[in-house]
Amino acid sequence: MMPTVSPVLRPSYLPPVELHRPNDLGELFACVAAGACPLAGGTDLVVWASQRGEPRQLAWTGGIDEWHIVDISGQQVRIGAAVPLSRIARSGELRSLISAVIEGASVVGSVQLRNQATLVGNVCTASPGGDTLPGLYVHDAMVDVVNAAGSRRSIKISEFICAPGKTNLAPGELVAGVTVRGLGPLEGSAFCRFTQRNALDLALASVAARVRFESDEQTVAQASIALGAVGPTVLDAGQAAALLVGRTLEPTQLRECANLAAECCQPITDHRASADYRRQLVRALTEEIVLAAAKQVTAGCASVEAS
Amino acid sequence: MSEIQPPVQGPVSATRATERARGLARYAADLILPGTVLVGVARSPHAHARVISIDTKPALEIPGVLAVLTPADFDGIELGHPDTDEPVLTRVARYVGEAVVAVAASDQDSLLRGIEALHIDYQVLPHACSVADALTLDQPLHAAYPDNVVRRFNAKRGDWQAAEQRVSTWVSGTFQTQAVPHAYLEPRATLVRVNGELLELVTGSHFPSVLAETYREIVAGWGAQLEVVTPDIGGSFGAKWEHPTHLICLAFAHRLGCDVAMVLPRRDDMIAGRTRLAMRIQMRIGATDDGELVAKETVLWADNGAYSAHGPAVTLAAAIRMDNLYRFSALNAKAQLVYTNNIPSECFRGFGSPQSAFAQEQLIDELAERLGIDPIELRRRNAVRAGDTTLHGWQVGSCGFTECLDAIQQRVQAHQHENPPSINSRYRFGYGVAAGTHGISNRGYDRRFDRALLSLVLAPDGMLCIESGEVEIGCGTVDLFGAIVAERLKLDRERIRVVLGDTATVPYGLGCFASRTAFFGGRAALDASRQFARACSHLAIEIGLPAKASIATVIDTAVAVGRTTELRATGRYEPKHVTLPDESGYGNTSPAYTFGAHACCVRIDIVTGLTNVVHYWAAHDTGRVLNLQRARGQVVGGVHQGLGFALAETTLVDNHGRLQNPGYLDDRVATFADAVPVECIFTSTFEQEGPNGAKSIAEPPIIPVAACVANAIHNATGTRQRRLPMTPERIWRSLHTEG
Ligand SMILES: Cc1cc2nc3c(=O)[nH]c(=O)nc-3n(C[C@H](O)[C@H](O)[C@H](O)COP(=O)(O)OP(=O)(O)OC[C@H]3O[C@@H](n4cnc5c(N)ncnc54)[C@H](O)[C@@H]3O)c2cc1C
Repeated sequence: MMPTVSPVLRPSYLPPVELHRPNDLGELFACVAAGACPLAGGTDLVVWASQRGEPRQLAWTGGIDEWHIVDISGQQVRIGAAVPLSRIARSGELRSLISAVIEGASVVGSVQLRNQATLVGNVCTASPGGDTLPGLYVHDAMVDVVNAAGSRRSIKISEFICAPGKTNLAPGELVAGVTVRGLGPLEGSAFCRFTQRNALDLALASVAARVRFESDEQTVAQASIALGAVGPTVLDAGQAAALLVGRTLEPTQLRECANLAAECCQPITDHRASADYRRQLVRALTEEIVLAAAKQVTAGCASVEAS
Repeated sequence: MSEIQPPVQGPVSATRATERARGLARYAADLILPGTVLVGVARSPHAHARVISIDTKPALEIPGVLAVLTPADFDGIELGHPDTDEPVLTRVARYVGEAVVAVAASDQDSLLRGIEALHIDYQVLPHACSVADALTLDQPLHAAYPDNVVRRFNAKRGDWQAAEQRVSTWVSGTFQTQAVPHAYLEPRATLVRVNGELLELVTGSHFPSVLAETYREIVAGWGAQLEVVTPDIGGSFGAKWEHPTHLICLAFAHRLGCDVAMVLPRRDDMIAGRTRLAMRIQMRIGATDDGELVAKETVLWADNGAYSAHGPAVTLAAAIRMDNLYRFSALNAKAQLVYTNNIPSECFRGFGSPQSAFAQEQLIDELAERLGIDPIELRRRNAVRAGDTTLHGWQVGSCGFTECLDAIQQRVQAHQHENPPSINSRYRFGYGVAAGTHGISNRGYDRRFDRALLSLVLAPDGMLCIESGEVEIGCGTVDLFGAIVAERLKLDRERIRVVLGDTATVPYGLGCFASRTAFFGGRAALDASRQFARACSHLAIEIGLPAKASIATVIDTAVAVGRTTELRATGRYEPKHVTLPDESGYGNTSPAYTFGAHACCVRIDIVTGLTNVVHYWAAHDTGRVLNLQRARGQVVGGVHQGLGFALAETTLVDNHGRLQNPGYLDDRVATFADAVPVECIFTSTFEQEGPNGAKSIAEPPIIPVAACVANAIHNATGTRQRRLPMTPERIWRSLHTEG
């Protein structure tokens, strides 16, 4: 047998890192231009640094005051790049406006983790299992990208995230925040994931749905469904959602929609679960979550009537 | 004559627990001073490979790298207990992650650069990551074991033929249990302090005295001496014994003449750690029509991983221990322990019994169903009782097994009464029961002796010091010894200092394992207190105090007149009626035995296969409870650890032998968010031989859990789970294929 040369397994210590703490955008871009990697909550980045030995130059985004802003104007919500998940998860107003996003934000990791991790970090990590992502997809999120020259572009999240772990952020660009379209009248949204443990776990599958009813509150006028952890990126199950439009949410309708969602997803088999089990989860979650989104409309109206 | 005493109910002075909760405990890693030389290792990326060449030069050229050790530096040294087969640094890698070369550097960055700069050439060899593959691999993993079988055990008891003839119903099954890491919170950490020719090894361990004994022989060859210092330990559960990291650090410290330290990152701690032995268990149990358990046959294969550690002892225990729960007429057990290219296995809370309970207690349940007898009743009819000598030679003293069964039956019936079965298309509810038994220490562990020593020494400042080699690994030993001595001598707990495990001062101790410490150490503490009280009354008379003066008064006076050195005593406990087991495990290996019965109610989501444990009852015969809060802590912890083993935890190894889940993200130990309500019940048993009537509670709570949950899943869904862990996907699949 030929001897083979192999690399040694490197110990997973966090290497010595240099942490820059810029106080304004200019300084931040200077750091990034000098090769530093933007660091928000660090809950992904620090883990990677331990595993891979890099990056070793980090620039904290928390010093940028305007990135701490959560702005609600009418139906629009803008969440700055330095806003931790726990802050949005606590907000009752956001919970009724962008339910699916907030339900996702509320289950990421653990209490301690959510105090640290940001929504924008979750987006930039671009994991197909990112828990805020399906909600952001059904809420038509736009990612606000800035560069050192001060020019801005706004990209649909489904275009911003292009592959597992990959975004189309150009070198030197940063994400300033995310803008989402909140719920309007007769609209509801919801998110649910399946994990084997109640905290600190990753979704084997997740589903977000958004439903708008006609004024009869029974016929679906518009619907969207996004599937997490069952494809290279979050998937837009547009065909499945289309099955609901113009119909009422009868069990057979729901089942058909859930079956189509399960069919059109592209799960892999890995050490966490097999592809057909993930499909089964998509089927179960889709039924559940379309109903939950619908219930938000009926429950919401009930409370308006009551008050 | 048993004087029945209630468990200690009152407020508990859990001083160590409070310290830990407040972050005051100091673990080995907390004792590393800035500037200490850091040690790391290069690990094999291959499951089985011969190291052909090592070039250390590029590493040594990196500034900050101080020294490098290779396998040649440890020629002739092998670790293991009692069998030695594990090299410190290896010439043949037998699992992915095995240490090949060690580097010492002045800082972490240089250390990492040094490790990455090493050149190691391997010749890759065929590997086997399962018992089945290892048995057919025509390549021995260790030259001395051509068929890769480390050890074979046979235990035949009773008249098998006669028993077989009486059996009317057989049930049988093949069960597969998995390897799981111990999942202690404190990763392996080693600090070596240099004091002239004396090397001080600072590390958490089950048995500092034995560790010192083992390593002293080795370092004596270098002209050095050694003591072990025992800091607080952040859990172990059976993992922290001898380990290559100790000798690597000792060798660097000796060579460089300065303090060195190595703290494993979590991932490394998992890939180069230890795991519970995975087992494949073929079992059948035969009974008469009226529910007498007559015969049991076990054929078991255990995965030893790359090195032996306590694998042989665990395998034998798994093959026979659980038999002692019932009055069988004949038993026939065969076990094989097999080397594979997996992470070395090690004993783990329960010492093989959680594995065999998973098989046995499910089969008992099946029998009950087949015979139309309530599963608790079937167990009660056959339960071992006080005064029995079992087929394996256990002389059962106190035994509260039937009391445990009664208690859980009552709880389950009440729960069923309050929660009538609901008809639901998605969720199914079910109840399960399982039992377990365990020894207290094991006379066969160290063939020389099984005993405990504990000294009481009055310090010049008037503090009474408890010194013992019977150590704390997080079960509350320090508090327990303190409480026993304080109560006996009527001293304030604040006047007592407890020093466990520092080998320079404490008497020799076998250490903390086999649920023995409270029992053995507790008896030694009582003996030491008795002797100390006697010494006090002698001194009282000499210094003119009334003979009945309180211990506190004598101590105060001894301090005042400078006669503290006369107040010292060494207590001792060595059980009289235990016997060395023979090769097949026959013998009265423990001075007393513990029993327990568990029940649970589960809710199964048949759409996803997810199991929710709605309620859990754990009844234990632990003798008299010495500290209720601590005992509950052990039970609740053991049950949750068992639930992880039952439902979620595993080590996933790919085709190349690489661990795919080296972290708690994918090794799903329960979190606080997964906690289930556990009701703890303790029987009124009083053990004559035990300290103040106590037995032990450390390991027993984990033993029945996986079987208990499996029985409940069957009750809820009608499917039998033969394989651990019972993940949602597996349950969903079994519902689809069987249901
Ligand atoms: C224990 C644990 C549990 C977890 N559980 C979950 C879970 O349940 N669900 C889940 O979805 N995730 C989970 N995660 C992953 C992680 O917490 C989330 O992805 C989190 O949202 C990341 O946010 P952060 O602020 O910490 O990002 P960071 O780690 O700081 O950054 C992540 C990435 O985004 C980039 N980045 C950050 N800010 C910017 C910016 N302004 N412009 C450009 N790039 C930027 C960084 O360079 C990096 O590449 C878990 C992680 C851990 C360690």
